[in-house]
Amino acid sequence: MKTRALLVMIFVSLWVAGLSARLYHLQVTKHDHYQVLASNQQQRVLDLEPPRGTIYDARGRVLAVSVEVESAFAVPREVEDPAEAALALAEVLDLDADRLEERLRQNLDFVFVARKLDPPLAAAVARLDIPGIHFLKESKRYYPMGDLAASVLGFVGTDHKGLAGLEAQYDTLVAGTPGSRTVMRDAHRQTLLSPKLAFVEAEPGADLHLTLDAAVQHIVEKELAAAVEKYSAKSGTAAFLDPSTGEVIALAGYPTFDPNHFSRVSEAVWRNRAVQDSYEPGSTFKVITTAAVLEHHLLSPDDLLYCEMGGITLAGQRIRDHHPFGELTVRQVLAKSSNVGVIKLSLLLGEERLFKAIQDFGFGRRTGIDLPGESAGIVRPLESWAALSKAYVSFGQEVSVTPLQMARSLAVVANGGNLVTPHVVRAVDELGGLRSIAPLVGDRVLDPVVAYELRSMLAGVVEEGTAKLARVEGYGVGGKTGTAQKVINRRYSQTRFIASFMGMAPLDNPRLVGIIVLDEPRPLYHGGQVAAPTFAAIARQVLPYWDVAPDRLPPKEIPSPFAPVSPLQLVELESGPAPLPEEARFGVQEIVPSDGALAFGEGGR
Amino acid sequence: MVRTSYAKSRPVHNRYLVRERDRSLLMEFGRVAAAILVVGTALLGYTWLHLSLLESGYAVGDLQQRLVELERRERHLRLEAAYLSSPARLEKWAVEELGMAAPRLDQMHFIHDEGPPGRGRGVLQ
Repeated sequence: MKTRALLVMIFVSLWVAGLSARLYHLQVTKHDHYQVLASNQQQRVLDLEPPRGTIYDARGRVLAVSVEVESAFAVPREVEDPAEAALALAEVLDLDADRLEERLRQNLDFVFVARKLDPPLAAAVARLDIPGIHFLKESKRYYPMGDLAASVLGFVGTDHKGLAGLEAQYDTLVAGTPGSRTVMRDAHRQTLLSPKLAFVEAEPGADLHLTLDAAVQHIVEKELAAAVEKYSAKSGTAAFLDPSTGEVIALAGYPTFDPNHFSRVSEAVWRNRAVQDSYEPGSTFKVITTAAVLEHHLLSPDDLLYCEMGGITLAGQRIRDHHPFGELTVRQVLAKSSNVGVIKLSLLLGEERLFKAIQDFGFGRRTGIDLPGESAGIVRPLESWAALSKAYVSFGQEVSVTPLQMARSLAVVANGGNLVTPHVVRAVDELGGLRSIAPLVGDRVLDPVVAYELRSMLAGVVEEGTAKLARVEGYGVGGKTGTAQKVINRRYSQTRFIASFMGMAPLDNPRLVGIIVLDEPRPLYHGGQVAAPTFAAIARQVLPYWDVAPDRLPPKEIPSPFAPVSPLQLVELESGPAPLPEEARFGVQEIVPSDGALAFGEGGR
Repeated sequence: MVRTSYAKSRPVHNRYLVRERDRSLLMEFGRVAAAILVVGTALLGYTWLHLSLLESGYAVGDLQQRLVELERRERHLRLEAAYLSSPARLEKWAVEELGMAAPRLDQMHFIHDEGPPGRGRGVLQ
């Protein structure tokens, strides 16, 4: 009896010991291994995509927003009849059926059928109810206003990375930071959240609040497109600023594109012409020369210049005016856009002071706008100026500028002499709160009195000069026209022009400063004929929209802040320009551009 | 009763059985019962908590999903609102559908004269 009991006890003890050893092995020795297996089975790490920031206009309208949409994918081995499925899908999604069938026959576990479908399309695919076709959610960027401000906003790629415009410039801010969350899954594959599991919250992208006003942008784009179409121009560009802060009110280019379908047009259309394209400004540049002369108190607006009745010969080259002018005041030189008159201003000024003025107005360097790919334009260093560079530069040849640079230079005149930095983003709304971007107002480059004087002179251009079509009933408008010859095969073309008008309104307290540039308008091609009316059409709509009261007043007599011209200067002016150096005196020759895009030739009006 | 020669009649004194209480056993029983109660309650409490946590986990998961869905819907609605309020669309609708036209200057009243939204007024020197 005792032996039997002993045997049972030994057996039980061995069984318990064996069980304990196995348990020890499973739960202690192999703990980590089974922990991982269990976690893989029960837990799942979800990637949390941060919502990309929204872009708003100056009045809070949504210009760009990301929403989750469905992407259709296939599990090929689950698709019963690839040919039939491909045919049905291709019909709904407007895809190539053969290529789709090929993909559905691939020996893969996952192939995309179509990504980021608009909701109606996703619903149509779902209604087909094809076995093996599933959906997953992906974020898609939408630009609800279509092509409005397309070149400013830019667009994002399939991976949601900014590729152009503000989307690229502010990508790190707008994209946000991805997060992750570990969740439990039960036997029914239901998700169960637990505070014990790892959770890194996704940081949403910052929202951008722009200086652009969608309504103004629409007006500018509409009028620009109308002008390009009406005058059969190759393209058109417009840039408008708030002169006191440098805030960009509108930037437009035509032809344009819809950033929702950016791949449907060529890359050339994507660029922001106002910022990235440079051109020879022609006569609009005369404002800079005139400003420099007034700033150095060399002449006053009502001093007389003899304009040589249609042409002047310098260094053996004949530079013609567009009209034979005799005596004109400086004010009239600007109003009638006399090349000879402004050349005489440049001779009086000297190349160093002219070069310094060009630099002071910000030409030859980027404005610093918060948009990618900005061009600096071309201003050759003073050392490489030729004998006649001073003359040609004075009326906008041998220099290359962007429309935005020209608009900024006029803003200097409009705001009393300060060089502002154009910018498109007014505030960034981050997790930490709304961060405003303060306007950068740079150095004073013009005396306020000179700026005021110039404004009255620019009003003269509109009232009695080359820009009569820029008049806006009820509002005072000032501005300057430009008709620049294009350089074709290193020669100035006689048939292809760039027409422009830069203007400001209302004159007594300018709120709107901008430029319109049309490339090769036909049959009319003068800036005053094609660009000035476009500016007027824009100002006529924008100023009332802003609730800006009309300021139309009779012309004012403005006391001149300048000292009278010295007798010596008068003698020099009446007798023509200073004698040229001997080496410059050779016969009149054919005008051929020296190198690159820069060339010599007749100026425009 | 069978009476034999051996039989004797004796008075029986254990007519009333007196059950004596074993206090130590009672104490031990009490301790065990208390311990079982405590442990049992703790186990039940833990189980209840665990189940509640699971339930809450499911509920939080569902709410989270609902929040995501509502946010998604809100973004869709904002997108739709933005599309519908596009200046180009509004202008087309006003002009072509409603036959409206921009007012002339003499038909306008200027009240605020504030200029562009959020900007300072131009500088008049």
